[in-house]
Amino acid sequence: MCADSEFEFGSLGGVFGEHGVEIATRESQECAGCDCAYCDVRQFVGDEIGFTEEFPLSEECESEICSVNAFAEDFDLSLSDDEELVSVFTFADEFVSEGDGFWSESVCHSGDDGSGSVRSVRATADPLWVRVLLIGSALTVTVVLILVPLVYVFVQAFSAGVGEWWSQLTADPDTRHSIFLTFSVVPAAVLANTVFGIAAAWTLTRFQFRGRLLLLTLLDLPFAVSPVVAGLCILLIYGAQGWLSPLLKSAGIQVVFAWPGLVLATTFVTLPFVARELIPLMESLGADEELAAVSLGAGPWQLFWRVTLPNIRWGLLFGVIQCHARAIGEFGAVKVVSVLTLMALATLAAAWGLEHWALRRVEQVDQVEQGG
Amino acid sequence: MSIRICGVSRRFGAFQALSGVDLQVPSGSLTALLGPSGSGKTTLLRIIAGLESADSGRVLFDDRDVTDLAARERGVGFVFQHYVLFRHMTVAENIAFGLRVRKAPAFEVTSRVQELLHLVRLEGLGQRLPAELSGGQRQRVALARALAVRPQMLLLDEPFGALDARVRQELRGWLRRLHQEMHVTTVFVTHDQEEAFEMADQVVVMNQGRIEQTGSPQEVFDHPATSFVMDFLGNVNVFHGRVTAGRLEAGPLNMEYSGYTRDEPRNATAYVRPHELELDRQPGQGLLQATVLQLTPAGSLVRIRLLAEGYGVELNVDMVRERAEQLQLCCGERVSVRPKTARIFMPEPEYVI
Repeated sequence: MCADSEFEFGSLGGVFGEHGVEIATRESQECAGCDCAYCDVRQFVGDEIGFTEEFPLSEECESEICSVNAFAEDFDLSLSDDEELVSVFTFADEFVSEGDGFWSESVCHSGDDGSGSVRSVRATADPLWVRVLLIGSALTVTVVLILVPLVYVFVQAFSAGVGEWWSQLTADPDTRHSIFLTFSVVPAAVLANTVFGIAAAWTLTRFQFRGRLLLLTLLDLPFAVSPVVAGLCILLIYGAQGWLSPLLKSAGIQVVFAWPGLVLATTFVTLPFVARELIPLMESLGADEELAAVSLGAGPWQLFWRVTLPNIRWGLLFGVIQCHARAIGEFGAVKVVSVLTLMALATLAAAWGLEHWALRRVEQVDQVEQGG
Repeated sequence: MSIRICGVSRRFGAFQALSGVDLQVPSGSLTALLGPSGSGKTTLLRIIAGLESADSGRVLFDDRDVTDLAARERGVGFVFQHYVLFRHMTVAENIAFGLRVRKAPAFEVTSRVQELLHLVRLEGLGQRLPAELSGGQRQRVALARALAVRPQMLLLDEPFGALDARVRQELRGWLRRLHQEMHVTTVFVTHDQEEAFEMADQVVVMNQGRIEQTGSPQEVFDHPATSFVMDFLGNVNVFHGRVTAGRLEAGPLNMEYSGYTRDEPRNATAYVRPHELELDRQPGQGLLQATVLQLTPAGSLVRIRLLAEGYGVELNVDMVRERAEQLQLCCGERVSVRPKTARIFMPEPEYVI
């Protein structure tokens, strides 16, 4: 047997995800149960860790040799002619973390001598430079583009001390007003888009109709249109000289330069988020559960609240969060319909100033004439 | 509750799923809609349930016209091929769904759910989610869910199609017994003739959006109305040929046929089931000669494949075991074949104007 040939055994090991492999050179096949290094490894694997169960890899046949061969093929273990894959096993949970260590240790043990044909097999490892390059570039981009500006914002905000920051936040009427606008406009826009998104997703996935594809395409338009242009369009439609101004004026509603305008602009820009999240989800779910509910007597509302909504709830939540984030961050369109308020005020002020100046000139002229 | 279908048609784009179907399902019967895929059987079932609308025609339940009635008002239990359980609800909640949407009182819901769990033999699994059940169990939950609201009819769309053979066999017997206990009018769709024959009182054979034949399993099998039914129901030997003046000449098959006595020849197809062919060692007058290609024992039968050399036609013969042992056939031997009976169908002649 192999009592005196401790280092003639090629005991090879590898770790593949949660699986370990054991490879032996052919002459070591007859060795079983002695106390050589190779048997030690087997013994250790069997007794100490207790995960000798074979991993069933081949569906046709569950015999050991099939699963071992299938494994060798799946993981592209290139074995030389005098090598043979002995077994494949799944690591017990507590072992996975230490798996690499165990194997490299055992491999090193027999490899130290140099006489064993020892090879460490790792199927999942890319070359080091690839890993360094990819991880490095991802980190660099994240730090430069996101982390640094974010940290800088906080540094600047607190540069004059927390007290100063707080007083700026609470004392300045402009700041207070901006915060109030954010907290009033965003929920309104998000609510509008949630309702619209669910309705649009339902329409587009549950009905077949003419113009369905067109609607699907139009839904993405807000992604393509510049927010400033969107704001301008709202201005042109609802503004003082806009198409709808006579109607709005007679109803006494001011849209542009007011809260409704801000909601409109924000809603437009964040329109696709909820619908876009729900459409693929509802398409993959299919209408079968809804049909089942209908056949059981559910009305439209019961159908929605009891069947559809529970199925789409996570997708909906994600869509709402995205929509919310975009709504808070939106600036372009909102700027056009709101910041112009200042310009309008300036124009008004200028007009008033001119009038005042002209009036005074007229008075002066009158006085001169009277005096003359 | 009986069902009457009058001239129902349905078209999906260019595909005519149903064309002018008339059907009568007696109250309390167990009816199978049998046909190949694309024959319109599922569409017909969905139209009965109200899950699909008909382009034309009427659907009547007990003389009450329900054509324009919404699915939820029809009081029909529907079981889908792929179970379609509500995946976010437990088994008990699934079964209770129909009662809850009808605002049934809580105590009634609980007792009815227990009753149904017992009926479908899933006691103790009420708190499981559908994903934690096997296919057969899910289908039983789907059935319990449909039965919970005491529907006046039960419609099943390929109920056992997605299950493996043993579970399917078991559920068939179970559903059959369930039907005998409850006497709910039941219609189920299947493409498996064995399933249809084993379970149904009435078999409706469908093809290309039309009903080919309606009748008891025995009737349909023994007296197929059309060549399609003959062909669809089990193995059959097909001989294409013609009839003239009371005789059929169809390749190797040459026999008397009293159904057509005119002199002008007409195309005809003869169908002979494998068990209707008899083999013998002695060559006889007018008998067909063939060579044994293959013998396959299959349970109580022996399936024999023959080649009629003169015509290059392969024949399938089923023979009881005793007879086969008596004959002691082996491959390559020559035998004479005698058809006990044959069914002959003549396609409508194509008139050229």
